[in-house]
Amino acid sequence: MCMICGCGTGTDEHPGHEHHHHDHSHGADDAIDFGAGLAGVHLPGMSQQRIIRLEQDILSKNDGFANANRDRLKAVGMFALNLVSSPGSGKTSLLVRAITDLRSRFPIAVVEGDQQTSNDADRIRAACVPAIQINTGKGCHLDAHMVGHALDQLPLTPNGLLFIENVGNLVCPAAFDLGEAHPSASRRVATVWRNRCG
Amino acid sequence: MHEMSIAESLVDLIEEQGRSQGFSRVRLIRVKLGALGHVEPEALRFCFDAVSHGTIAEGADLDLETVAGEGWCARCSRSFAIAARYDICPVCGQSHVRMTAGDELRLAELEVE
Repeated sequence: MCMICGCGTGTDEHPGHEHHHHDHSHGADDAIDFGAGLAGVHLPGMSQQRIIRLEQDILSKNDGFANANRDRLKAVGMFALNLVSSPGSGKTSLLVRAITDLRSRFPIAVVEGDQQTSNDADRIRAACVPAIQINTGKGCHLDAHMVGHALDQLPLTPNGLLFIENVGNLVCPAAFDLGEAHPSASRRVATVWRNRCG
Repeated sequence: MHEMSIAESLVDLIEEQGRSQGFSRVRLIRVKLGALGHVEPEALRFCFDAVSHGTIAEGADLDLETVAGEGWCARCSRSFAIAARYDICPVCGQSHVRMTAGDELRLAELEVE
């Protein structure tokens, strides 16, 4: 046992006493402070745990992808809307009608979100505009990363319109910014939609 | 259940921190949740247990701190408690109210070893 500090190294010779087996710090005045760690306290036999303060938004990764999508669309000059509403409320029907009315005035592209099948994208393509289907499988909403991949495959055109039809769900998509022009716009559209389509 | 994606994002953040700050086990995770937000605490716990399995966050206590709703009226320049989004100002009765708290979804702190 070390006769200087009492540790069980099996030797009593510690020239210079250089071993560091505790959580302690050496201050400017050579004081050895066992309570100066992150926990601010020393308990015999226990190492100090570290406390890491982060204050980081949990969806910051999604928000990063969303901002990248938004910058990309802004650089091209394309206006994006994220359409959110409940299942069966008529999102695709409204979209098909909007495309029919607007396609002669604006280049239009569509991202279709659905858990399964490409039925919705097929309906959009039948209206003669490019559409990418994203199947989320068990996921109940689109996220910005998925939309970024869809943007890789769609023609992004100056002064164009990008419609993103989210998965039919009024709760889950609300948390996930996709990079649309104005996140609150989609909520207003959804509200109007709900009032009209029930 | 969007809490599953949120739990995945939480575990991703923790694993990133583990790599950059050099820890391999998490004992406690403190998360701030807005009372008027979109996350159901029990659903988040359930999803966290499922998603953290086999990661450095497995077995960690998940401490969910609720942050009460608060609004600020641009007309009266004052803050007050709100019970719902789009609440009106209790003083002037107008809706120039910006929500200043209650929508949090933030990883506040980790206890690690």
